[in-house]
Amino acid sequence: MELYTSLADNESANKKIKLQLIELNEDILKSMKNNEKLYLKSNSTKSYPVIVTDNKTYKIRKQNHSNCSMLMNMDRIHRIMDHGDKDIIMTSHERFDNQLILSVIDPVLNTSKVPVLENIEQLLTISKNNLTLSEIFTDSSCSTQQFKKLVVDQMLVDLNNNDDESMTGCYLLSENVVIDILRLILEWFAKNVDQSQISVAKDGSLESPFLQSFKIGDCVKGVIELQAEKLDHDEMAAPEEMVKSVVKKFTTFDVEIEDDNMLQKVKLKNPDVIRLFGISLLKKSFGSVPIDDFLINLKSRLPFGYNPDIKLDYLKGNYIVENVGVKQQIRYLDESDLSLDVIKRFKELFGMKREWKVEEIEPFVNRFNTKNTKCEKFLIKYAKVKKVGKKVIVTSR
Amino acid sequence: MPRLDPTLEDYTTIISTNLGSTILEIQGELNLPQSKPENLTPEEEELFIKSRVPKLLNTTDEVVRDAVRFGRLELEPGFKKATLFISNSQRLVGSVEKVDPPLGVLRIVKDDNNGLEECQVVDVISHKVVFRLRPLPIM
Repeated sequence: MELYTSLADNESANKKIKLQLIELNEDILKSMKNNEKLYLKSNSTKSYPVIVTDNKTYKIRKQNHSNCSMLMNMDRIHRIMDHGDKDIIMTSHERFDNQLILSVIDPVLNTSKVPVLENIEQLLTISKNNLTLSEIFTDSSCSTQQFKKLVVDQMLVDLNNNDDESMTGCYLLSENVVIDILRLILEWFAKNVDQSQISVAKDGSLESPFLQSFKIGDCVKGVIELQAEKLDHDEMAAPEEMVKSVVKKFTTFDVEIEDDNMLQKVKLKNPDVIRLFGISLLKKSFGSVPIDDFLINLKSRLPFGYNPDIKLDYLKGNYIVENVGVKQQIRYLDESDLSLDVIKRFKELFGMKREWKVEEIEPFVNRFNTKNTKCEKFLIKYAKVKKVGKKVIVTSR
Repeated sequence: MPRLDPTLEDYTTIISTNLGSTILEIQGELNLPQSKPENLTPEEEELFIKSRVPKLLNTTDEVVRDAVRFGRLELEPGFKKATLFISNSQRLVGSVEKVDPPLGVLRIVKDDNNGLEECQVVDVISHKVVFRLRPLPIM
């Protein structure tokens, strides 16, 4: 078969049509076979484009090579030749010195243009925005499914469909606003759960009555009514969309039916509730406080009638326990405040405390364990790991 | 030279996708003229044809460009060995390799009206013909 190459393939940079080779992994191929749409997007705060399937995000990188890689196209010409009159030839119309490669990345929601509401009343004073969820999605490096999850996780609320036409745009809820709304939700749950109904979990343990489920619509309606009862005349009520968002973040579906179905049954995610209240309390504490005092304070901050199990473990990655005299004290430590350099991070951690338990240090170094190896094995690379009795202790080298 | 559209039967006789695409990879570069030179001898003229630009790279009905012959490809039955003859003096020995992960051909069309680009994966290539070795003389 004779091979030809077109002489005008490098014609001009402003060609209307360009071809580019791109590596297709199994996930992308599967999406293509299922006729799902793939989106090429770019987050305005990031320097790279992404390709997203329905539920995954891939960073696109250009990989240059020095080979002459030609995309040949089959053609069939009719010409008078010794051996016959038909001839199949292949012609190259495009040559490549690079190809696009994909690597899976964590989704990123671009909220750089979204205002943060520090309190509900700010809705009256903050300058209006016309942002829509669809615009934010287009400008975020994430897939549709990841976007839905991030919207709930990061407390992004869309007020564009609110009955009150003066409310438009999208807002991020601050921790204080979330806590205020969550208090009302917990109060509503406390009023409505049957405290005597304690069920037995699969593992044989007793389940908190706060794991009873309710229709999400009843919960949102109930919270709005409760809010109306409690507010003074000059106070502004949280719009229904905000209540719904907070309910969604702190509850879990029994069985997920479909988006925004108000008949769906939900139950409280008690560990997440404790985590929010606990972290907020730790942030407000000056320095370290005795663990017992902290737990009492935390319990007292929860609404009356809401008595879930409280475990320090729920606050993982946000605290450090220190031995002060004979007492153990706790203080706030945010993983994201530590160095992004793994060596420096270990130095910082051992500067705060000489000996760590594996489970204590794990949340602060986990982001570097990209191969998901067993934590102890990963720690050996950067620290000394030794057994003292039944405990495994991590110290600096 | 009048031309005919390739039939499906043609595609099954060589390594190509159903759309007739193949990737051919050579180490280094091919030195070719930018355009068809003038005043060619009849022998040299035979190296050139008018090639129709495939629809992948074309939005209008028919675009024809000059193309030059740079070699002849021979594939052994079973596609285990490939030989590329360049002119009458050199040959390259290569093979048909699986491309893992497969490569998609991304077609990017620029809309002149709004400057936006529309992308579409138009073909998937799972094998390519690769020549990694230095050229050998034809004895």
